[in-house]
Amino acid sequence: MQVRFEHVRADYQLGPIRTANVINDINVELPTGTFTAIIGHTGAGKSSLLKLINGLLLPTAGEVHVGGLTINANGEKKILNQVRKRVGMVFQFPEAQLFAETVEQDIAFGPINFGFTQEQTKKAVRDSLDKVGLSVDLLKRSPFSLSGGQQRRVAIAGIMATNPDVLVLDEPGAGLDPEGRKKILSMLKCWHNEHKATTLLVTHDMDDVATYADDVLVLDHGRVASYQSVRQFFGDESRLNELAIDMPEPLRVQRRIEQEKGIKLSQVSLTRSELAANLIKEQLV
Amino acid sequence: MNGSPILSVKDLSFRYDIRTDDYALSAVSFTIKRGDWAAVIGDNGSGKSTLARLIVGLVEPEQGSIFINNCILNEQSKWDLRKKVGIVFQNPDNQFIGTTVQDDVAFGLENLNLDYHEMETRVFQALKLVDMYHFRDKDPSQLSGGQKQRVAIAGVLALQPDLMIFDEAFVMLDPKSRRELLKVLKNIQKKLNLTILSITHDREEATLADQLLVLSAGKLIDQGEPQAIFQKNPDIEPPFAEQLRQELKGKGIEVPDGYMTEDELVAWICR
Ligand SMILES: Nc1ncnc2c1ncn2[C@@H]1O[C@H](COP(=O)(O)OP(=O)(O)OP(=O)(O)O)[C@@H](O)[C@H]1O
Ligand SMILES: Nc1ncnc2c1ncn2[C@@H]1O[C@H](COP(=O)(O)OP(=O)(O)OP(=O)(O)O)[C@@H](O)[C@H]1O
Ligand SMILES: [Mg+2]
Ligand SMILES: [Mg+2]
Repeated sequence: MQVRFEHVRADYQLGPIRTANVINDINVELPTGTFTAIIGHTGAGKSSLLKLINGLLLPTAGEVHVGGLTINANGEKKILNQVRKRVGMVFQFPEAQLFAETVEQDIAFGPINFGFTQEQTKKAVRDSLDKVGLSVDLLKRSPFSLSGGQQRRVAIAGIMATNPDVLVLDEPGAGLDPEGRKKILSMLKCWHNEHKATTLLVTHDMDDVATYADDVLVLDHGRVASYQSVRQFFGDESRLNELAIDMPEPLRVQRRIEQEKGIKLSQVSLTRSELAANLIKEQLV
Repeated sequence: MNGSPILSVKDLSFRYDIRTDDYALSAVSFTIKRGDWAAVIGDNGSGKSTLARLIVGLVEPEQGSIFINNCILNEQSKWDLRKKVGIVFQNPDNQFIGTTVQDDVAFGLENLNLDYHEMETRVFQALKLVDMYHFRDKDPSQLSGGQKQRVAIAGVLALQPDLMIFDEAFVMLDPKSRRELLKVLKNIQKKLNLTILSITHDREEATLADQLLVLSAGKLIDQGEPQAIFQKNPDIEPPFAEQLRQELKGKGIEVPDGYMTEDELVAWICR
């Protein structure tokens, strides 16, 4: 399902006062099946952009198209409901997303709402619990009595149980331990590939960008500062400096070695194994 | 006063529900010296935030004791000791009290009996350090995630407590801001001889610490200098350079034996 922003502007209305535009004329098309990392500094508008996709924030001008559905300033209830059935969103703070009395009820909410049978719901809950590496012992617990990382996992499980076409992930790795982070992000990537989903991932971790995303969209003061493939993006050192964006760890170490040796490797290393392979190929180790 | 313990935890055990035998912490003991930076790592649910809650007196130990500045933490001493400890919680939303950013930062200072001018100076300075001065009149609930974390951090910076606890307080900052803020913190810490206890999943941050504590299922399984910990515990994911060394080794390359820091690995490659 394609996601398209057509000259979208948005702000947060505070009572009668309008704030400045936090999304400022965004005009971009994310084709079906693409995995896009959204990056940018604090307050750049990343979360706001994600909220526009499921109508949690409405455009003040322009339109957001999700598949054949169109969200505009009117924010028609009927359309928003249809959109929310297709879009699964993991919030920046998981607590904001959890609401039910037990973990089980929380994860089952989506499936029940979508008319799954009791059997199907039960299976969906177990399957998604397994996907995020949580034990069934937690099912009867209150989601609010869990650790931060456990809450994050429940929030992700709740989204996976609904089979979304569009995955909208706001710093899903924050609060996960390194092993869990890798497992869960790989799981999300597999899911994305299998379901030909369209995925948007907000992250501050450039290694996640390099490992999981196809494209990078850089936001700056509510505008698109850059939108290109991951490899092109990280290969352009001066542009990265201009945008004050970090390199992924492997590339940073590659650049450091290049600098100290006064050489240039022929390829950009985005992952650890790429760096290892490049070092071996160029006989540096 | 350097070298004397600011925090000392003895045989600490805790359960959220005493009807079960799920110990969130069991028999944890350690000491942190004044002026040190200690980092706590461990898997999700291993008890890190619980430890923080116990140290600030939000929950009470089932067994064992906590000493802050050589003074035992109990019902009587709690109110006084709380002035010496500041915490940034894992979710900043649980922390905001004020209706504006500056009120919120000022709120923590209310018990310190500062005059108005001194209070304002501290609040503004702290907000400038985290780059949130321009947001001082905003409602903290209407900020972005990273902005909320900055405000919560400013609250502790303004307080300048002897012991600062950060519970994954930097995760929503972009990498550059995070590095800058860690530098700022290190400077303040040195200047005022403060102690920092930072809970983190970030390996690069953990390697900056003087002392690393490793929790696993409620038990303190190791403590010591970060490098020694990563050397001894192959199960704990090491920093990137060491991962690279291991990967090269796995590919049959003759790399030096044993743990390597990034400086060492780069020096070896560029030898
Ligand atoms: N309020 C609570 N009531 C009951 N159990 C709790 C409560 N808070 C935490 N727990 C449980 O105690 C254990 C330790 O939780 P804690 O929050 O200390 O973990 P943590 O190490 O901070 O994990 P994370 O990295 O996910 O933040 C977990 O199994 C958790 O489910
Ligand atoms: N509920 C709100 N009410 C008013 N203003 C808001 C609200 N939420 C966010 N803002 C403002 O909108 C701007 C964009 O915020 P947004 O949450 O989209 O940023 P972000 O890129 O996700 O940042 P971060 O990396 O810190 O999460 C910020 O300046 C923020 O202060
Ligand atoms: Mg955000
Ligand atoms: Mg925690």
